[in-house]
Amino acid sequence: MAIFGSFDEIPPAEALTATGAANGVFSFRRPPHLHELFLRGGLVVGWKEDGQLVEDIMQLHAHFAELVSVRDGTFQFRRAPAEQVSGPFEVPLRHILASGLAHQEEMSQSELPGPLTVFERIEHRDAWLGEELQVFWERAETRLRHGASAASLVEVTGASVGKAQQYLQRLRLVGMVRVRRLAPGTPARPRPPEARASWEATPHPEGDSISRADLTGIRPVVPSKPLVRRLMDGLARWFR
Amino acid sequence: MDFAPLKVVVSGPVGAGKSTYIRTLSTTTVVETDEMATECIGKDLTTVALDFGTLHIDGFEVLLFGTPGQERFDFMWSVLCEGAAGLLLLVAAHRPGSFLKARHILEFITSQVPIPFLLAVTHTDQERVWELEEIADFFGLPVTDLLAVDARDRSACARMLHRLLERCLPTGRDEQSRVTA
Ligand SMILES: Nc1nc2c(ncn2[C@@H]2O[C@H](COP(=O)(O)OP(=O)(O)OP(=O)(O)O)[C@@H](O)[C@H]2O)c(=O)[nH]1
Ligand SMILES: [Mg+2]
Repeated sequence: MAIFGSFDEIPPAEALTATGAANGVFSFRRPPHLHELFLRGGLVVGWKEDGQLVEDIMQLHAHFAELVSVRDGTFQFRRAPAEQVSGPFEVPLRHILASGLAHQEEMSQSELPGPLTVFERIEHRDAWLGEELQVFWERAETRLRHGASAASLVEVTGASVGKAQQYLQRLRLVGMVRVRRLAPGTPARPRPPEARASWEATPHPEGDSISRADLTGIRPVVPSKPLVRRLMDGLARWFR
Repeated sequence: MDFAPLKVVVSGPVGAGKSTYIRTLSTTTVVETDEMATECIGKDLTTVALDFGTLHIDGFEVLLFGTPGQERFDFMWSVLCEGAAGLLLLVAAHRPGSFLKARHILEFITSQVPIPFLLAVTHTDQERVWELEEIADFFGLPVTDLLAVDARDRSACARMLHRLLERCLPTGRDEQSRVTA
């Protein structure tokens, strides 16, 4: 149906990037005001505030700089045919977000990827990052080619883990990095010591079947093909 | 042939349908750990420890483990996923407020543990929902990594598990290289 939500749960930059390159109107309400952003193929073409069109590009930038730090209000995105989405501008959304994010206040922990989540750089991407993020990027870039987490970037960048999480999140929002997932069949990453403690602190029902599952063993399981096939055949009877 | 039981992890935010999914598929009594919620989460009962159910198919066993939904970010998930054949991450299409947390869970797990996964989208029957394509974009996943499922519907749940198991099989190319090796 549509993208919708509230900014305290999905921050503006996340909500906007979720529209991808779709054509339509992204509107958000912060009482008493209603704002409408006109988006076409990844470009911002217009902004209306209570029906009034913004005509000055500097004002558009100022609106974005303010918007990225907003954490109240609700939004929705309504798709529309490209020819119905018009306005005086043609600014790439990623670029204008990047300049807004450069002035953003710190994001809360709940908005950030975990300190061990691994990111990698996306080849052939460029964005204006602002001075502070650019410095981090230059120090982290080589590591990010092969995948690096906030925790693993502390040493090369001199940033704290918390700061590195902030920077990686901003780089992700402007499209410079993405999560690097491990392909099935490859080895797992070594587990941090916190993991075991956290596991043991989690209450779980004791029982035969649980111990049989060998929950805490580092045992990469590649299930046997005949077993998977038989289970699949069995399951198929349930829905065919 | 004697096979060890297969372990599948069912994770996701509060109210996504994890306990329901496990209950719907289990052929034995489910270990219930639901309690009255201590904070307002939009429903009365919430899972406070691990959910656990077993599915028997033709004499083989699948163990279903559900994570508690209320924790924000925890190493526990990656431990639980070790030794698992696959991961189902459930999100409710009508509750976008939980997407960010679900994405954090998925990103953390999949960058630590090489596990096949599917994003199971529940509550698509509700009135106001995000479309599958939109959820895929938000999670940065191809739409083929997503499947709509009603956790109360046994055949839909079985289809979901079937799709996940499909991903546990070696890919065509791997099989090819094994044959030629
Ligand atoms: N309408 C609808 N209801 C569903 C669907 N899937 C699950 N439910 C219902 O959603 C409610 C919440 O499901 P639970 O299984 O308790 O969710 P949970 O993920 O275990 O929640 P926590 O343990 O609190 O984290 C239950 O009343 C289910 O019957 C669906 O696709 N559509
Ligand atoms: Mg539950």
